[in-house]
Amino acid sequence: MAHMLDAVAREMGIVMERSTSSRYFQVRDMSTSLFDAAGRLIGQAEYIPLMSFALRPQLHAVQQMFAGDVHPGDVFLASDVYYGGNQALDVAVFAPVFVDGCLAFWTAGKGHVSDLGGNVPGSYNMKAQEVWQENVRLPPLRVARGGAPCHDVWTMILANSRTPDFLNRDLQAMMAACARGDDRLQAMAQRYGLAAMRQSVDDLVKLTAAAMQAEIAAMRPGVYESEAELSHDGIGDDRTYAVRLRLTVTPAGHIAFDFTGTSPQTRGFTNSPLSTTISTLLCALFMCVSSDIPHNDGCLEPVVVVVPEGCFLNPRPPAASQTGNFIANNVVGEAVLKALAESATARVTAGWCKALGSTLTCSNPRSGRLEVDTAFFNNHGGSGATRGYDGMDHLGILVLGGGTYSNDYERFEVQNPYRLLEHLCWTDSGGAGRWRGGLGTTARFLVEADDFIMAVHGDNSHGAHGVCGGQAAPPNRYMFSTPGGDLPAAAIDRYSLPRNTVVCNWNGGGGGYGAPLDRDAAAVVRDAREGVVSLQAAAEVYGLVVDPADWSAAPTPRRTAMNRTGRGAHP
Amino acid sequence: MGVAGLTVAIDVGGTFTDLVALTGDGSILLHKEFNTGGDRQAAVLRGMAALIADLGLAWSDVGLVVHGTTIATNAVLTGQGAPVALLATQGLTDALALRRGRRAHLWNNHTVQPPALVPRWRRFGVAERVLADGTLLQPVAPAAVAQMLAAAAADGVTAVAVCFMHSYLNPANELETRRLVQQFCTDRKLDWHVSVSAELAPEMGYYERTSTTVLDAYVGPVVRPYLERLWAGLQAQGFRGTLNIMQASGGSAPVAAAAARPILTLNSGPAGGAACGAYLATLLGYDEAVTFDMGGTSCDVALIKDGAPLVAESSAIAGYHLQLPVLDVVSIGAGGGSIVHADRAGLLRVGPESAGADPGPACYGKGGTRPTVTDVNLHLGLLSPEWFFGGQLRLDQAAATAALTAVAAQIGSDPLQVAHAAYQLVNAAMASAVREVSIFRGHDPRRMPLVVGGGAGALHACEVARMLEMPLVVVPPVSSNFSALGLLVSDVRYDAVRALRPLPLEHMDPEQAVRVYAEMQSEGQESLSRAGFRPEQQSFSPLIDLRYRGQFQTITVPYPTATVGAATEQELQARFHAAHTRLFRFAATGDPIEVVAQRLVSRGRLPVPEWRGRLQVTRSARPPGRGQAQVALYPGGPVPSVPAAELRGVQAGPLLATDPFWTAWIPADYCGGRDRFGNLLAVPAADRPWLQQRVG
Repeated sequence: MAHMLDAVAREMGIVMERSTSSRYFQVRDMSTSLFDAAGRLIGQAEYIPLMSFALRPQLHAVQQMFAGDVHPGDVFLASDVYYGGNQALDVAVFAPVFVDGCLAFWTAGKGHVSDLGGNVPGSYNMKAQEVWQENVRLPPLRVARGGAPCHDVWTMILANSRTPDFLNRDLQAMMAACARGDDRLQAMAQRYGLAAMRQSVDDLVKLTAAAMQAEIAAMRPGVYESEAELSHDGIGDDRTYAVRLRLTVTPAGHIAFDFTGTSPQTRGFTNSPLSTTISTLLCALFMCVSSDIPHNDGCLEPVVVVVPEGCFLNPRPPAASQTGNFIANNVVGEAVLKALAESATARVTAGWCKALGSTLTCSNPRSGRLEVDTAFFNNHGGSGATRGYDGMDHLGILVLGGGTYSNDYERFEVQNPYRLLEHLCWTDSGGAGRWRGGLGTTARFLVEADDFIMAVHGDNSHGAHGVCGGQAAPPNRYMFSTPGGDLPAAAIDRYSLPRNTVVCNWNGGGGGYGAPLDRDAAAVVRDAREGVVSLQAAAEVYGLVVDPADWSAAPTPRRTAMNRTGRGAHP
Repeated sequence: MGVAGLTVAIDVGGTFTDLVALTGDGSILLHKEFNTGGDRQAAVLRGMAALIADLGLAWSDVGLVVHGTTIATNAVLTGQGAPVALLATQGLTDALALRRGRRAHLWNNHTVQPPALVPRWRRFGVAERVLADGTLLQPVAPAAVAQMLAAAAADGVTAVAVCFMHSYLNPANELETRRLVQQFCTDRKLDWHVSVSAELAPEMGYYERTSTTVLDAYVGPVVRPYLERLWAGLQAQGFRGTLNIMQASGGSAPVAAAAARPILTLNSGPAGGAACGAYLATLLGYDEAVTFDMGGTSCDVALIKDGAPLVAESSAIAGYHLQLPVLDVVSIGAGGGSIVHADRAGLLRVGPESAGADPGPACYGKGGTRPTVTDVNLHLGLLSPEWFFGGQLRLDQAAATAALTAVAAQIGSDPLQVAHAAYQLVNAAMASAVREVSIFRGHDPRRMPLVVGGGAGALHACEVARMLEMPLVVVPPVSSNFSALGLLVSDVRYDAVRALRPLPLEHMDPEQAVRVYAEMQSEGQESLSRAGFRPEQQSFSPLIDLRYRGQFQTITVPYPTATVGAATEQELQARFHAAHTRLFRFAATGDPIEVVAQRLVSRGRLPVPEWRGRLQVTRSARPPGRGQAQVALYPGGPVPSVPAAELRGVQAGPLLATDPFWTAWIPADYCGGRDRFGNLLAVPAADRPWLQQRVG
């Protein structure tokens, strides 16, 4: 039954992906889920894991607001971060599924839309200090009643977007996905009977909870503390914000994440809505338990999360938060993985590439349209290494997990007046270690438009951290090579750039695991021959002098000494 | 049939070569041949010689040979393809390894991505450029390409893959580069395989096209010489007919076309099995079924829906993306030759390593010492030492027991326990493959029959069906030559595509479109006629890829050939809105529609063999065995003595139903019987009345 429910969610995802015209859905910046009548998550297609886990609190907001007022043919929409949303631009659609006149399930689709108004196109307002400066707020709304669209509400929403055509189609695609989910669930209910389905769902949730608890019980119990730092709030360079995490793992298999002591909410748009904070920590946690555990309400049962209201991981309205998605990935992800390194040493990964997001806007001379796009290929750095395995190259930031695509080069050029000049593995970008972090990339594209604006938002100060003696990866970086000279980009800012600017990106790798001097010599030679580890790094970091004439290698005295003492052989 | 005379289908697996001949009067003859050493075409020629001799015919009487081969698949699965140089657009040479930033298992960090088929030092960046609208910005510089080729030659490559940006709109730079490579090869007297992306998969998607082109180059130097040797071997014997090669799309292509695009032969064996399953399911009146073909090295599972195998939306082989239409087949390493072993943790495992035909399972007595699934089945009493492989190979029971004892010693067990556990493991692995093609894709197997192929499949089928609550097991008389029969019932098929620069539908010139179709059709006609298909056996399906402006994914709809002018546009609009509504429950009727590509599928129809139960096996095979077998399926329990014989009417299990090339296990809670087509049907004992009617 779990597989069939996930199959329904996957099929909904395919409907959404195939019928869309969104730049974002096409790389799978979207998610679909199924819930039971009580709002328990029972199946999902995790194209972007971050979004998946944030659908649940949003449905609860819908259920609360429309309690007793949900009817067949209704469709609800929500995106506001103070009503369970993770990001205002990630718009969710929910549809109740009635079986024999009785509310039995909910289907949900969610995806990133290109513009919801606010001060700037793309709705990433760097200077925002209140939510109203970012975008139109969409608390739970009824957008269809009895199968017919509510034209007034629909028109109001579209009137608040700079790209109403795209938004219209996106919403249609999400509703189409929900309709498909409805078809499939109805068919299942016909075949198995609703009572049997409910029983299966109960069993599934129970079994999942037990499996999750067993996984946590296998971790080293104890209390672990960790920190991570945000060095920029979007308003000024002078402040830093700290995440403080206290992780408690009990022998009985419960786990608690307590963020008490985390800095107060920031002035700018770098706050992480509560949904995002929780989703992100779940992403990090699920990387450290068996991948066989289905993701439904059961796996959340043994997990307790405390995030004090008013800190930057659970801001009070009207704090701005549009880039909180990225910020949480960078700081919550890091703090959780660091704490879990002590408790789940064999499963934990080193840090993943941090997020340094971009929003690209210009009017396209070819189509005459305003184009809003994202260089997804610059949000796919290396994943963190883990015991026994190197990290993977160009995989993503933690909360993407390898579930979203980076742009197809040709489609990127067909859709935008940009020409891609380079997208390559970045030499020495994988954090050194016995198991090396995945590689990041370098990319350059040429702007062939006159009104190009690029918003940059995220982290360019810290690379992904290493664990158990592994080294950190280099941080992300943007630089603009303009006709007038080179211009380095800040972590958070918005740039108007002239035609023929070349946008240059360095997308960091993942962190390393274990001491680099312990790395298998053949792996180092292979990396050197591939050119993904330089000869200099091979010698200085890995202690192997590699001869490019015949690809032979000789250990340096440091490596020989290390191998003799056997120190660190088993991190 | 395409050409007059005898038609022979040949499926080369890891252990056996299976042959099926269809004679002019519609009867079917089966033959099975052992593979020998590394020389695959020798088994093909031996098998054909046996068939022809049996029928009292000559090589010149064979009109058509349809051949399914795993040679390309094996090259990829075992990493034994050619060293390839990739010439890509400068600055974008790593697309192959970066694979668009995704991985198969979202949460599992304890895995590795399959290594890129071209290592980084063999990826060359060519300074060239075509823009997004197809304009040629920078042509290739011959001297620079020559330098790269010299470096590649020094590194020992034997194949070159060429994939440049936007070549699907303007292939000029790719074609020029191919000319330069050919020139280089002529000058240096080299025989390189050259794969060009614009010819293989002229569609948008740089990574996907690169991966496809590299796969073609990777298998080219392995596949082409094999096909050339086979063709020469057939010619030397006096064969004057047509040789067609099965493609993963489920249709076959002439040998010259397959040699030119060796990638089309990837997964061709499993495609034959799926085609056979669809044919048999339809014959029995089911439009849904799961097929399951257990050969020597693997077990291939596919889902039949609406009478045809499912086609994968996108596909991959061993983790490598393939941008071609491919039947959706799941392969697991659980064949008769799969090796039973203990892993480092002391857990019993089956496969994926296979003993192949040489040395083969321990019981073949050819020097194999490691136990295989066949040894397990022999030890359990499911196979008889005397009746195996048409009685042509006497199995060595002692050798099987010795091999199982060695594994048992490693994990502190006894051979019977090991055999029993391995049998369960194989069944569980098969059940999970069935789940993958059915439940994971949203289809419920509990209403579908399990159609079983492969010499060993019928020993496991009832156990698998019981686990999944599938109501019916069907073992066709051709079970042992399952894929080969699939080759016989598949059309000859060519897929042609012409990508366009996305064009508003209202700007499409129907006359021009018809000209493009005519051009593709005359190519298809020429190929089909060359293959011996008479005009009335040829059919052509013009298709068109459409989408709403702004969408990325397209929907393929049939192009209306009966209309002209503005009527065409209206008809296309109507077809597209209808298709969109069917798939997505909405149509944006006011939105402009774009034309993205024109496709033409050319088919040459082979007459579907009319099943009249006239099935024979070559004379070298002895009649099926009879007697009592000691089946030890339940460890610790009694070893029941079960009857083994050809079925007569409906009989209750436990029993072994025998046939020259296969044996079926009917457990105690099942009963079986043969229907009028000769198919063995097995159902749970409770469904005996239903079976009684079918067996009649």
